[in-house]
Amino acid sequence: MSKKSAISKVYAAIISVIIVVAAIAAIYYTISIPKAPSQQVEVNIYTINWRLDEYNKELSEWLNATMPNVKAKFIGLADYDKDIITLLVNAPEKVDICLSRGPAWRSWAKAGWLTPLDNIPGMTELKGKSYPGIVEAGSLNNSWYSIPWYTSVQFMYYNKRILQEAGFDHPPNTWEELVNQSLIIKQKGLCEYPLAFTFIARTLRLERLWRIISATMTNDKEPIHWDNDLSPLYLGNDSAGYKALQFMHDIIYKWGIASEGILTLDWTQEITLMGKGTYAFCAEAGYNIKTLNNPDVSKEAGNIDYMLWPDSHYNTAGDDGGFVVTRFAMEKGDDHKLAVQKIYRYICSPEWKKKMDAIPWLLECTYPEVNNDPEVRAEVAKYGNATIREESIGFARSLAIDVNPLNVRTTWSAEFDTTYVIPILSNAVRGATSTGDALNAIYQGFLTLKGKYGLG
Amino acid sequence: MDLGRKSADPHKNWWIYGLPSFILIALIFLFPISYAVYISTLQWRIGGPGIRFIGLGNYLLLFTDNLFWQSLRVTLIYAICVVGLTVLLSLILALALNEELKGIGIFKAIMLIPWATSPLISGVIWSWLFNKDFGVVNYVLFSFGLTKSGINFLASDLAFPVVILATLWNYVPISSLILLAGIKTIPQELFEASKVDGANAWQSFYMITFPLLRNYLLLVVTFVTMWSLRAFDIIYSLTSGGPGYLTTVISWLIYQTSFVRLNFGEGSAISVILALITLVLTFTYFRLLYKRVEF
Repeated sequence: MSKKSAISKVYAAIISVIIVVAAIAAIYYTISIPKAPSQQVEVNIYTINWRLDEYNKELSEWLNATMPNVKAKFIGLADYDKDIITLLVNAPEKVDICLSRGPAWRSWAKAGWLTPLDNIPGMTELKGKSYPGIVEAGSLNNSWYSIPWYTSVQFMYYNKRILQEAGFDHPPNTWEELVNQSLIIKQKGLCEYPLAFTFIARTLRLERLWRIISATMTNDKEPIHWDNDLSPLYLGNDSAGYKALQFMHDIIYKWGIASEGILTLDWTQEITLMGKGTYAFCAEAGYNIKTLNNPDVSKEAGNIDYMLWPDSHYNTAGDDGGFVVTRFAMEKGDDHKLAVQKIYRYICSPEWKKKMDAIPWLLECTYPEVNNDPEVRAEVAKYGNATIREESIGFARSLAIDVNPLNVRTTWSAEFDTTYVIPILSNAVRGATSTGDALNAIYQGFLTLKGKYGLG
Repeated sequence: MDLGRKSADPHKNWWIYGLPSFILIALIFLFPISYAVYISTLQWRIGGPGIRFIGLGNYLLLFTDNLFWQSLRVTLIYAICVVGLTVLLSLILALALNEELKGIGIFKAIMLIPWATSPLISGVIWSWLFNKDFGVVNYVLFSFGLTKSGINFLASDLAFPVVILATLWNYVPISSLILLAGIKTIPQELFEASKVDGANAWQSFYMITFPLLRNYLLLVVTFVTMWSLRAFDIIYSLTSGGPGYLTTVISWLIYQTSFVRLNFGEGSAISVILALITLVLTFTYFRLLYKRVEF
C-alpha cells in the first residue's frame, strides 16, 4: 500500500468518526430537546403575589415566540404557604410548577408530589452552570428537585456616615470589633442602639441568624450544630452554637448595643429604620441595598453599603426553597409534559434570571455567569460595593447548613423548628431562660421528636 | 264541604319540606365535620410513611404532649378573660348608650369600626402601638416619665394582657350593641313602675334589666366564647404564639400542626377537641342561662 493511500485511509477514518459523532450528537440533541407541543396546552405556575404582571408579560412574550399553542401563567396565592398545601392536598392536578418557600418541597418530594429535575431534558446543562451548593440544597436522597427562585444572600449592612462620624474608616472585621465600634457609636450619641437584627419569632429569622452567627464563629467550618451521628455539637460552653446564642442575648442585655425591641422587629421595620439612620449595622437580604440607597425612601441614601460578616470571609448564602415541577404535570399527556418542561427550563435559565431578577432586583446568585455578568456587576455597583458582593456570593453555599441534624430538612424538622427551636431561642435571647438551659431544651425537643417519629 | 282538594297537612310529608335544608346542612356542616373526625383517626403527615388508620392514636399522642396541654391552658385562660371582660364592658357601654344623649347615634356608628376591622389588621395596628422603640404607648409612658427606655410589651410576659386588650377592642363594640338591642326591648313601664315602688338604680338593674337581658347575654357569652376559642388572626399578627409559648392558643397550634408541620391527622385531632370543648361550653351556657322571657 502506497503512502498516499494510507494517508487517504486515515483521513477517511477521521471523517467517518466525525460524521458518526455528529450524527449521534444530532440524534441526542433531537431527543433531548423536544419540539413545541402540537396541541393547545395550559400550564399553571403558582407563586407568591409579587411582580406577577411582569412575570406573566415576559412569559407570554416568550411563549408567543416559541410555543404559540401553549398558554401559561404565574398565579399568586394570598396566604401562600397554606394555600399551596391546600391545593396540593385537594387538587394536585392543578399545580404544574410551583414555588416552595423554604424547605417545604422536601416534604412534597417525600410525599411523591414532585418530579426529579434530572428527568427533565436539558437540566443537566443548568446543573453544570449552578453553584454546587445550590444544587446540593435543592437535592434530596440523591435526586435534584428544586432550583431557587433567588438565593437571598444575607448581608451585613453598615452606615458609612455614622462610622466616619464615630472615627472609623472601615467596617468591623470581627464580632469583637463590631461590639467595640457599636459601643463608641452609642457613647458618642450617634445611635441609641447601633445594631439591629430581626429576632421576631414569626419568621425563621431567629434560627437563621443563630445559624449564620454560629457559622462565622466556627470560621465557616461544617458541621456547626450536629455531627454525623446525630450528636449535638452546641451543648458545651465552648461550642459555636452556645457562643452565638449568648452573643445574641448579650448585644441587648450586656452591652446594650441592640434594643430589646428587636425581639419583635420585622424586616420591613428594620429596613425603614436603617434608612432613617436609626442603626449603624443591620443584617438583611442583599437586594435591600436598592431601597436603602434610594433617596426617595431613605434619608441615608448613598451612605449604606455591604460588609462581610464579622469573623468570616464569606456570607452565608442560600434559600433552600425554589421552583419545583409536580409529578402531576408529567401525567397529563406528552404535549402538556413537554410544555411544562420547556417552561420550567426557561424560568430557571440564566437568561430569565438575569433579565427578570438580577438586573432589576439584584437578586440572583444561582449561576456564577449571571453574577459575573458585567451588566449585572454594573447594576450592583450603582448601589453598593460590587466586589464585596461578588466575594460573598461567590461562596454561595446553602442554608441547608442547618440547625437540623445531618443537614436534612424533613417534615419533622419543620416541627422541630416551630415547636422547639424558635420559641426556645426566643426565650433565651430575652433572658427568660439561660443559654445553657435553652440549648438543652432544644436537644430534649429533638429527642422527643426522635422518639415520636422513630428516627435512627 | 269537599272542594275536591286534599287539605294540606303540614306534618304529612314533612321530610319533603325539610329535605333542601337537610341537604344544605349536610353539605355545609355535617360533611366537613365528619371528614375532620375521619382525618383525625389517620396518620397523615406529608412526607411521612403514608396515610394509614390509627384510630385514637393522634388523640393519645396529644394527651401526652406538653405543648397541647400548655396551649389548652392558655386558650382557656384567654377565653375566660375575654368573655368576662367583654360581657362586663359591653354591659356598661350598653347601659351608657341607652341614655338619650346628644350625638349618641354618631358614637354608635363609630363604635362599629373596630368590629368592621379585620382582626389581622387590628393585630398589626396594635403591634405598632405597643412597639418597644417607636410605639405610641411607650411614647406616652415616656412622656409622663413612667419609663426610661420603653417597655417591651410584646416580647415579655405583658404580651398576654396586650393580646386580651386587642381582642376586647374588637369584640366589645358589637357585644354592647347586641346588649343595647336587648335593653331597648324591655318595656319602659317596668322601670317606671319600679321607680314608683321606690327601687334605686342598682335594684332596677338587678331586678329588671339583668333578668330580661338574660337571653341577650347568653347570645353574647356564646358568641364571644366561640370567637375567643378559635382566635387565630390576632395572635398571628400580634405575637405569633410567643414569646416562647406564652400566647400559643389552640388555634395557633392547629395552624402550626396542619400547615407548617403538615401533620393533618394530628391537626384534625386538635380541631375535633376544640370543637367538642366549644360544644360542651355552649350547651352548658344554654342549660344555665336560657329562660323563656315573659313580660
